Amino acid sequence: MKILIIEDEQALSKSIATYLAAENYTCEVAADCKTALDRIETFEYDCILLDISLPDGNGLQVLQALKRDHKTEGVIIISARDSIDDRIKGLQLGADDYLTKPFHLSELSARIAAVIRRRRFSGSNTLEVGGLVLDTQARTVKVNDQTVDLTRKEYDLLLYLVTNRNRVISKHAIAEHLSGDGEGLFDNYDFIYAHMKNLKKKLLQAGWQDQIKAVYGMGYKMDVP
Amino acid sequence: MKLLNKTVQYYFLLSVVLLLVAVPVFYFVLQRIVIANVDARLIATKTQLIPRLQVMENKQPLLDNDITLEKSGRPGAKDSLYTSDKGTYRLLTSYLVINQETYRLQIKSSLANHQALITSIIILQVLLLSLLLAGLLLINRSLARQVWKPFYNTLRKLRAYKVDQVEPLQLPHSKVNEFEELNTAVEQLAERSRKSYVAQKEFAENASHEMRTPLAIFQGKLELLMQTTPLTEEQATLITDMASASQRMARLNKGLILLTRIQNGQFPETEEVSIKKMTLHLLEQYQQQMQQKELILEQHWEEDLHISANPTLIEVLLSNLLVNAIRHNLKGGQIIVKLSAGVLTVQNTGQLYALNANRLFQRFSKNSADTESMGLGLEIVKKICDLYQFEISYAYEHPLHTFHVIMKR
Repeated sequence: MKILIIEDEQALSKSIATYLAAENYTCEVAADCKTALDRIETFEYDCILLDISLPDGNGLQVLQALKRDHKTEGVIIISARDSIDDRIKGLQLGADDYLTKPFHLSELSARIAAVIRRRRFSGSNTLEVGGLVLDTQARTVKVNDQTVDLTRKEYDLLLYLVTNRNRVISKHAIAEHLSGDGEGLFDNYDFIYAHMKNLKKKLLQAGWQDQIKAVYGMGYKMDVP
Repeated sequence: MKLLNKTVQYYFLLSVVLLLVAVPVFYFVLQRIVIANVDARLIATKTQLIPRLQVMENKQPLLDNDITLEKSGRPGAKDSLYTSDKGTYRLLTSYLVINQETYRLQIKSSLANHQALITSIIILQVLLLSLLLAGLLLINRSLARQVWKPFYNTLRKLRAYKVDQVEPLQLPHSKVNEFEELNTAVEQLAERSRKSYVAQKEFAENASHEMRTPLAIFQGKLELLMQTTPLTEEQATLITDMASASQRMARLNKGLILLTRIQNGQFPETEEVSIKKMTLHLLEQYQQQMQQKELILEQHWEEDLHISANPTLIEVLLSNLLVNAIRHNLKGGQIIVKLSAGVLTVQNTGQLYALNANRLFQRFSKNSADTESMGLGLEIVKKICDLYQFEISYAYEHPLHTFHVIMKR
């Protein structure tokens, strides 16, 4: 799957590309509007990451060009600007998501996965990973054809781990992801431990072989061959 | 004391002194003049009488009741002029020798008429002076009010002026040079401070925004570092510490940007917000954190309060208060949320001493050793309260820390 990163800050685009490469995404980088416009005219992408403030203009013009050409790429805006106006403007112009800097790469990865799922696999919404079958539409999980009854938070946590599988996810990223728009006001990691414990217990009971490991108190990792 | 009253006061003092001194002096001088006048007339009468008395044959001709002529044993005394005991007569006593006999001649003249005249004149004078004084005061007052009007206008405008206003300070023109100069100087001063304020604000905002990209890079690289293998526990600890620091930095940055935005008035959209509904929603959201600390939540909803405000800001206001109450609470502590008579009250148990109320709402004034607390939350709360003219106060009554937000009077 191909992803275009439109971002003028090389250090950032490189990080994103490196992180996503491990998930079998092919990443291309455009550092300005002109290159970006050339690229989207010539190639097809599954998802575009778009920074709004670019050296040669506003990133929104890329969005307008996509819309004009009736392209169906999923677009996630990544911006340092986080006012509601900016968000609304971006989303109205047809972006699928809006992520404010600084963000966790694991969060970005989860959002990309969600956008691609919505865009591409409108027919099937099932994810099969390491003996787990996730229905992203119905938000259910099955182990050995047996549905595991998870709470909303537990499901979110599992999906987050699955989309970032084989990678260490920091507890900060998990806390922020789970608290959603709550801005991570608490940073209380106890509640992550509680959710994680419950999730593991439920999956184990359903006969799943535990593949989620804590990594030196830094975060968690789901190892899937 | 007002400048106006100050000048009037001096006028008044001068006038009173003038009245007190001038009236007796005038009275005295007037009396002297009258007496001198009467005396002159008495002497003139005497000089007229003497030749006629010299040739007089029988004793009592020409004399009316103001003039008496009696034989006197004592000759040769000098003429004397004096005022009779009661002050109603002026008497001239003179000794004459007529036909080898000594006579005492007494001529008297009434002073009563003159006294009445003097009194009338003095009354008139006092009246005139008082009228003059009153008129002077009145004219001075109205004139001063007129003259000082631009000054008071400037003062009023200056008092209402805030440096974070978008509009520059505009003072009315005055025809009086001094005021015009004052206005120009004040306008320039206000403009300078406004410009430096705006520049500072812009700097804070730009710096906060510019900081986000490097922060994103930093956070990204840290996450990549986490993926490297092999990773020792030592490295993992270092990475975790860095990640925590970057997390705090990101939150701090968010808080600062929010503050600048509130100050810039960048939340113009308002809608009807139900305080009760929003608080209940937030409490549900924080249920987990409350459970973790085994907090007991008490709620008293005597009414619902609907206010017209920006929902995002109200949510920030409420969540900051609630999060504080949860975060700084003790394990197994208590939270009381109350809404009545337009006042929202959030109470919580916590440290067993009062917080410094003076510094509580100031930037970066941390009251606890909690590293998760940035010291921005309550300043944001205060700024939102200022924006909507809510009144917030803090009190400690053992063992409860109480925040009152008066939202509606």
